[in-house]
Amino acid sequence: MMTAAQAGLVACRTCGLVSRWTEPAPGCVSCCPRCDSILRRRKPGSLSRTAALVLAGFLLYIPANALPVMQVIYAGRGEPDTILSGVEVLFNTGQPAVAILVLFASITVPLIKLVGLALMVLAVRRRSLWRRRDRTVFYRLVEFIGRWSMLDIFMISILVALVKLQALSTIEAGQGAIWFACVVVTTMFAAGSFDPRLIWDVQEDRR
Amino acid sequence: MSSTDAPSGHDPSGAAPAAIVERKSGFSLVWIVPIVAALIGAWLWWDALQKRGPEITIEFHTAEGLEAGKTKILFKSVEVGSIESVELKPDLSGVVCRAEMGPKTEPLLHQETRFWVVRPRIGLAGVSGLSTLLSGAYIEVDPVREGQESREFVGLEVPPQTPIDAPGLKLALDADALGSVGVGSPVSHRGLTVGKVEGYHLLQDTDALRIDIYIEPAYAQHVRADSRFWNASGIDLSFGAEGLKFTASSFVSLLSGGVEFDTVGDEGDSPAAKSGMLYRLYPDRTASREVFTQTREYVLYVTSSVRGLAPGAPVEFKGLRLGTVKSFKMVQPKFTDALTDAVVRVVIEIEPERIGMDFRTDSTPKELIGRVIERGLRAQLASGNLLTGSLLVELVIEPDSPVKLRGQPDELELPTVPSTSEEITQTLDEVPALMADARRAVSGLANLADSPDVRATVTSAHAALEQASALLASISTQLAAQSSLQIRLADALEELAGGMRAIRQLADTLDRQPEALIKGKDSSVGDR
Repeated sequence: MMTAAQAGLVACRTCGLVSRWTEPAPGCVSCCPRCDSILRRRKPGSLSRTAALVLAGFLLYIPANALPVMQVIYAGRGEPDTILSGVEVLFNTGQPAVAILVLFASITVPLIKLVGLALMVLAVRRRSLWRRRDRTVFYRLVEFIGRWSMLDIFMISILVALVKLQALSTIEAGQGAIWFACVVVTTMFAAGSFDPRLIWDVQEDRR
Repeated sequence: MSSTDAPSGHDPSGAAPAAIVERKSGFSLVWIVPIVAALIGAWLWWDALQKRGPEITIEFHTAEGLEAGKTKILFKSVEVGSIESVELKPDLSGVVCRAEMGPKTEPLLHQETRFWVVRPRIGLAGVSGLSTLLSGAYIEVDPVREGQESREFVGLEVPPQTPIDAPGLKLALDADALGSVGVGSPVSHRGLTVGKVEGYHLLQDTDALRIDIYIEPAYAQHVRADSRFWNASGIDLSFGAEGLKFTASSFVSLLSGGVEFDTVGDEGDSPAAKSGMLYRLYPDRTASREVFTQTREYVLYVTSSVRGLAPGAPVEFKGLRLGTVKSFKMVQPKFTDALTDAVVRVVIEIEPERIGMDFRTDSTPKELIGRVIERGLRAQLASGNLLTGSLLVELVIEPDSPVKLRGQPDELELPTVPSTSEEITQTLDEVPALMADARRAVSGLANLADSPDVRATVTSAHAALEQASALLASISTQLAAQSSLQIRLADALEELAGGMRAIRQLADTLDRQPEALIKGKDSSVGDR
């Protein structure tokens, strides 16, 4: 399969216009003849950026799960809940559907994203030819699913704002929520900075 | 990442130095992000480590109200830790709570440190732990700063009444019985509550009861080394040789029991009490007063009944109390085993301090008792209260009564004399015999009365009486007013009166004319 790069063509990321690629002189950039946005054959530093952000995501994932995200104070009694203990509470209080949803959105999805991106970076660096098509599809899925991870943060924000019944019941956001938001943001940036076209560049190199 | 060679070319001048070709640093700014994340993570981890204190285990009988991850450990209402897990002990005899303590809590954790669960408790002595109704139970810690550090504790089932380092006095009382004293019962002094009972337990080795009490610091000075404590529980109603006695203490004590103390004599005379001192808890106020350091036991053997005698009965001398009856039981002297010869051995305790004397004399107890017996000291049972029939032991001086000792040679025995009541009793003992005699006499009489002779006699007597009656009736008829006898008697009396009158005239005549005896009657004087 021939790639656009092999054909000396480049697509504009903004307006999609395909133009012939001209290597810019040092200090200059190539621009789209139609919309004047900067043209790049591949995202610059894609692999290292993604790798760095995925690593940061992994690091932040630990405090995000270890620290309490929310504290529900009901009638003077309240104990901080981490994401996992919150899932447990939901499950035990007879809301398994919500529990599974939270578990999926808050634990599984970020983890899948982080692990998936890490694997993709590794595969590209090792110039792997293994299931390149599936990997591309998977990348699309990761990018799509990423936004749902913010579900938890939205829920906490809404609850904290709504439940302010003073002594009766209050909900406070915990420190873990901040780190969880950071995980979501870093993974989103990581997914954004990864260039799936790199998956297909291997072929031409090998040939 | 990508390496860029420095542009090479010929330098026309040839003087300029050649540019150095360097590999571009592979470091991209984006790597700052994971570094920052790592730093944040490291900081959070370090922070958590700093906030983390020692891990301890506390054993309880039950985990009622305790929840893993929720129950807090408080010291003066400040959180110093929390329960992480609650597990059953392997032998199922209780639960083990694993708790994570806060930072810098090591000084709290020594061997003596006490933990207990604060739950709502309602008792006669008060209500506590109400705040835990809403917030749930928590664990209170009463730290001890000294001692060996420890990480494993056994929690108290009953909350202690006072902290270990409370400034007041902590005393121990030895008691025979608990009475109605309970944890939290008031300790009072002259009616004022000055402390409380902290707890009690049986001593392992002696089976005695040990009660721990706490005296508030403001009143600590009133407890002296020779203060006396007594059980002020409820109402004391006794009916002994001293009559009816009724004592009631404060209302709270009535309900929940209590301990009272007082100091005999002047408070200043005795050194102040120190924490940890051991006192005796007397059953009542009277018992607490009657405590004597010098006591000596004597025995006496009585043959009479000891009904009405009780341990604690007084021993009196000339009406003054001198001691107490300790015990009595029946013994059989060696020389006979007949029950009829059995005597009662009464042990009495003489307390000379009651009358301001002491035993500190030069002579041995044996010599002393020999001397007093020689001078006539005897013991007897006397009636203390006629209404109740209670007995007491009275010491009397009767030098003339015989000394009859029955006991062992090494005993300090006082000879006995029969008591007045004993004499009465003996007299009364004779009454049945008298009664029997009387009955026998009466029955003899009855037999006699039933015999035919007597009946014949009685019949003849009856006839005789009838004759006598007839006689009397005839006498009575003869004496009747119109009877001839009566009339003749009246005539005779009249004639007798005439005769008497003549005799008087003769006497008168002779009085006036004594010569008439010779000359004859002077008619001139004549009749009157």
